Amino acid sequence: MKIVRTIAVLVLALTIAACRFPADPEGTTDEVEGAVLKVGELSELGEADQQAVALVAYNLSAEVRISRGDPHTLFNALEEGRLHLIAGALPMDTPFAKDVALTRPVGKLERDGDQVDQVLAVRQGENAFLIRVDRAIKGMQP
Amino acid sequence: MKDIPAEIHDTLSRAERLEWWSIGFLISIIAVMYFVMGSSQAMKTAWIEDTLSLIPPIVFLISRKVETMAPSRAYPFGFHRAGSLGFFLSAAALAGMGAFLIYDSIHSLILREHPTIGNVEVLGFDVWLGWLMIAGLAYSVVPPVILGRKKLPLAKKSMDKILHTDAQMNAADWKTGLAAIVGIVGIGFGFWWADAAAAGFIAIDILRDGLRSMRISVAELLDGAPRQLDSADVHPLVDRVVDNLGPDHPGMAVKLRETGRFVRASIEDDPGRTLTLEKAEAIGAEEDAWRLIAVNRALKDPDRERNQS
Repeated sequence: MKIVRTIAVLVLALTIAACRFPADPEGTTDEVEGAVLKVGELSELGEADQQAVALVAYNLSAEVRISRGDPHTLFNALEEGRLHLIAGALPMDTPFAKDVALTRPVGKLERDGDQVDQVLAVRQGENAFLIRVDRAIKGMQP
Repeated sequence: MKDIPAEIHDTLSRAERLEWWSIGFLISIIAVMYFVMGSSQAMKTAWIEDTLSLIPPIVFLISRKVETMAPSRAYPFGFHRAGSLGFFLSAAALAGMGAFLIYDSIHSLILREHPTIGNVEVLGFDVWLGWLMIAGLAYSVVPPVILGRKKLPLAKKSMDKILHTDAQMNAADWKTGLAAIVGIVGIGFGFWWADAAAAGFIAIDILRDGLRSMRISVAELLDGAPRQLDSADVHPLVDRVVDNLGPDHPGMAVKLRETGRFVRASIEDDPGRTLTLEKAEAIGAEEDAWRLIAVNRALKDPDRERNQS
């Protein structure tokens, strides 16, 4: 009987969890949904960045609040959860890549004649949020 | 090799075929896991363990080639211990890697690194990469566990230490896979620490494998008495031979040591030197006579010899 109960509890737990799997360890999606999407702006948002931010905000029914700052302040705020998203001509190979999670490309950047994928950054490990953002900007094929 | 009975020779040939299969499967596992690795630490650690588990089959196959080489002027006793040397080196590598990976996972736990696993597109479907990792890990445990179970009896029969360790590591591989799967499911539920904790468990396993193999190979490289395959205890063969030959050689010690899969026994004076300096000089030693401490003769029939002595 003990085994049956354990399995029942496990199934219940999985059913509840299935609503959001993978989950956010720090609950970013819950925080943003229906509330405010705090965006850090590295440089004046171009067309692709603007469209991406708008799509994410629409998908989460959130109002956008943009703050500007130098990159280190913004990335630090993102790592601590005071920002949800960083945008602004951010290249795929940004040196901040190892401390944050990068989304799928939203466009292309020109650099020394080469093309680099342009991305957004979200907080590391917030997997549900990352997937939500990725789905929102899916239509934007660079 | 003419020293080996046909039955053992067949066993070793079967083992060689199994090791080739192992290498093939391992390469496929390493490739599959590499493509789905992502940023999970548990996955990375499991991948490194699978990569390291290529070493024992390779060392086994190389040492099978080397140990059958004929003795030469430079290596008059042949190459029976070549495998033990390779085994020692791979054990040291395993232990070192295990220690490093333990450090790595503790480091991630302290820095509170949150593993990020996003979605990927597979054949037009948007799939969480974690599911692919779990599928890859599930595949990674099946062939080693089956091959490990097949290799174990062959290792016991041929008294092959490399094969035995390899078989045991393979047979226990499901633990690594399961630990990594638990880590990834943990990430899915939002427990960021589950990943590094699972990686830590796998790393401890790697370190333990390395230390155990080191202990086994060091005993042989230091002329230790023959050991049992699955423990550090002295093999019962030693006591049997000593009990048999000992009483007929009062004041002498019967010593056994292991060279590869073979055992050599010798009857010697208990302190190392049996040869006086004068005798050593008489048979060609010069100022280095102190180095020549014993001359051995192999007995064709120890039973008859003991009646004469």
